Amino acid sequence: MMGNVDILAIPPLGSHELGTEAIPADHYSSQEFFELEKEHIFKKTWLLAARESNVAKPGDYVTFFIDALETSIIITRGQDQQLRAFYNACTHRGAYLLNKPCGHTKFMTCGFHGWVFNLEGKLVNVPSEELFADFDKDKLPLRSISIDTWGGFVFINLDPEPEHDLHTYLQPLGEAFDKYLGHSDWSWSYGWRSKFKSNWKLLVDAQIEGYHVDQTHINTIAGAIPGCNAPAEVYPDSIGVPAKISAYLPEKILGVQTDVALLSAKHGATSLYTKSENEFKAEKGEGVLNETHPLWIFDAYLLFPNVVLFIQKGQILLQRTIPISPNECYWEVDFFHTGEIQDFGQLFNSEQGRIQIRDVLTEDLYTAEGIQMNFNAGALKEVQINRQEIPIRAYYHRLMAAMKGKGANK
Amino acid sequence: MSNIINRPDISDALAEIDAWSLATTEDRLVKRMNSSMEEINRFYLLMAPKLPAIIDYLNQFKLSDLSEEDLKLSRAALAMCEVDNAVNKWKKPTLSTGIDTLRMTKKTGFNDRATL
Repeated sequence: MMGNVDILAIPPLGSHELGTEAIPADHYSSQEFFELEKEHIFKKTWLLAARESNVAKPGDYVTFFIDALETSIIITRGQDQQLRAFYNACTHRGAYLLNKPCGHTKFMTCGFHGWVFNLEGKLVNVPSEELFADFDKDKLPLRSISIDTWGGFVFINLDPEPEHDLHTYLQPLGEAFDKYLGHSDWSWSYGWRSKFKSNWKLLVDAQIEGYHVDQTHINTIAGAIPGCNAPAEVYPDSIGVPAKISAYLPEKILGVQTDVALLSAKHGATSLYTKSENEFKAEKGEGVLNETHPLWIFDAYLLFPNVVLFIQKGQILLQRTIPISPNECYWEVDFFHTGEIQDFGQLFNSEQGRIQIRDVLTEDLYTAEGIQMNFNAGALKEVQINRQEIPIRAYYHRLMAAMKGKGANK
Repeated sequence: MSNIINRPDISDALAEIDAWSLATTEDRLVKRMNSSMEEINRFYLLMAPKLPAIIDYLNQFKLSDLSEEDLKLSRAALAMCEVDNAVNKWKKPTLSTGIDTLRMTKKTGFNDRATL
């Protein structure tokens, strides 16, 4: 039978296809495991490091820091338009060359003794060069790092010869996603950053299941978005995209729709939890949005190891974590929109959406530090995962495969 | 020619508008966190009936062209977004089931590494 039943059908809420056993908890707290993660994951996988628009012109640069590895990375756009990544280490005696998060420069000059490198990483000037014996500047370029782009984002890989190229790594997110997310109309709107006493994976786990919504968000958006029935999908053959969750508006919305929220909705929708009225279509990016479904709100993809990418009509949202130690990480969230705010109605709508998601995120972040202490204390040795939470299981399987040096799950 | 929308009568809310018309979201957040529920409710109840008219009135101008008085009014209107959950959902100035919101440091760009 055709009709509404077909149109309104929502994908399955997950499955037991990856097993039903409890998952050990020690990978969240063990120093030994963490040391292996540094070697097998953070030195071997593609890491999202920058937005390409921040290094659009020759001379633009950004710096990216992997705290657990104490590794500072420079990403530059050379005069030849090529993007390059280097260790932020002068080849004289190791000082940082660049200290700001982003900027524009013709050359990179070390603040220690004045060695000068061009944007291609070549050492081009050494003060009092005659003081060195048998000296050849050509033999002392900056140490380069693997780099590639996808969806307008710059990824780096500390492995000099990555096992997979980035586009293979991110399958099944193919060319349409690359085009859609990479469209030049998207611009960074706002974001927050924080330091947490929790393992870097715990804050990822919190974003890839819907089961928590009804309880965790009882004081914000519970009832307005799905919880237990949020569709979940896993990609066992993917290397870098273990899973996806989706949100569809409940046919009947429960919870409080405040007058302020209803007023805001008259002027647009920039909250993750409402359907956006903003139109955005990138050429050859068709199919990324599930626009034909009247209830669809967003899809969220786990990009292994540390990114959750939310895609909805009119908005891109990224959550990232960067490990510091087994028990500590940085967490950040960034929003991308199209178009400038023109009038007060749009400003009001943006403010209302921004505050709502901020308050929702404070709830998402609330449990992690207590869980971490329980793991540290050995209060429990394993965690229970249901079928709606299958993305967490897929994440764990991917993690363990990577620790064994295997690309895919299988 | 489009109709000009007159400035709504806000004469009974001038003190509250003065108190809540702070320049940034972060300022208004701190104001909400440091206010009593009585203060928050007083502001909300005075502003709520006027808010649709205030938005319609402000919406007819370019944001960059707002007069000083209208800029103040716009900030007070934005503060309604800040107090909305406290009034209508939590019945408390702060959310007891979330982290301290001030732990979330506002970023100035995608690669900003600033933290508290």
